[in-house]
Amino acid sequence: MVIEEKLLYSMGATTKTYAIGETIFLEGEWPAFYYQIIKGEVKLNNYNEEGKEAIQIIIEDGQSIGESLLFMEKSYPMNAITITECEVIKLPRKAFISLLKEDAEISYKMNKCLSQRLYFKLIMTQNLSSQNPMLKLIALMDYLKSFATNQQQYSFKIPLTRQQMAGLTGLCVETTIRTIKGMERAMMLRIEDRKIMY
Amino acid sequence: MKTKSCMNIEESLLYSFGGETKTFKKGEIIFREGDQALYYFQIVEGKIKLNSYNEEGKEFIHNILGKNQSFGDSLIFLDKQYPMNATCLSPTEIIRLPKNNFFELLEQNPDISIEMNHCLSQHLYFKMVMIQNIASSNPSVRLKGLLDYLRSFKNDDCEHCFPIELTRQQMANLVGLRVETVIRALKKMEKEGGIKIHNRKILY
Repeated sequence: MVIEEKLLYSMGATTKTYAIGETIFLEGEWPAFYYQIIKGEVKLNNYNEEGKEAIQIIIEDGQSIGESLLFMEKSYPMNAITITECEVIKLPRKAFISLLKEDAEISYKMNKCLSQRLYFKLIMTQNLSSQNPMLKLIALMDYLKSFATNQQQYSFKIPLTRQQMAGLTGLCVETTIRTIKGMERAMMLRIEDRKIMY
Repeated sequence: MKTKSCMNIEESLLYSFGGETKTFKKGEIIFREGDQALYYFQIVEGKIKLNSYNEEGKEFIHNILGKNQSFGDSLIFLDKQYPMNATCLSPTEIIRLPKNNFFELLEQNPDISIEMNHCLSQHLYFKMVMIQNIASSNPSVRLKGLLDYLRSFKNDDCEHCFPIELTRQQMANLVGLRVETVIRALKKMEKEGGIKIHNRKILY
């Protein structure tokens, strides 16, 4: 979701800069702002009961962060942490909702954006229930890549360890490693310096 | 917090934008995987499931929806084919509205468009919780996630008073477990006091 910066400022938005590793919001906090990244990268993550990092999505320049929570009466279920220096534009929740009310086009775009995210989540849950490890991993990688601007083959670096990928798909690490090697041989991905390029 | 039943657009408004009523028998298919998304659908009466089959022919249920709920909304905003089927679980009456008429309705009714933002966000939230639960190897965790979601539509917070209207098989297909595993896990949850089972009905 990208809203023209000019429009955001006219509604009272401000800019904030963050250093690497700073928190934009924390799990459990009340969503009070619409955030859009002007420059930099942010990861969304959370931790399971055992303290393991459970999910990680990278959000790039021009994208909004956790906007779906602004439409609900729920606190954030995840953390947003910067992974580069970041410049972020933020607009108070109330002003954001007024903006959508005044501008049908933006509300429509928002519906489209939410639908897109929902679509990938849907495909992901569908494939996660599969017994085939490769389908599970493809589902996860497609989902992660769906947030990236560059959609070319092998352009996306999977920001997860094998262990994390196993945790997200319910596979064991050994199966995950074996399947990824098989996918490399089948040219479905590349491995550079142990990093997976998809 | 209560989960809102959505979309629940006033029927008269849907008709004024060209909505039409359709009735289906139990087991009939409203749309199939691979169909182009052409309509907005809202349930007047009855119950439907959104499902798909994996390469081994095993059913996966994405969601079960009932009265005053819409389904498949996200696909009309995208230029994609349905990745799932919509099948009636009971005799069902729906209102359908061609996609472009629906967009017009949203444009002229900003409050409904924001309601749509809300509704899609809610579905996203549900999916996120389900993805986290499906990744868990503990069947009770997966089932509890589903039960919590179902109960979140109700206002009252009382314990063991919410009846689960799903069969064991449907629950299994919603969380990606085998039915035997579901039955065993439910019995364990009963012993631990998480649920009550009365006449085979689950109370949560």
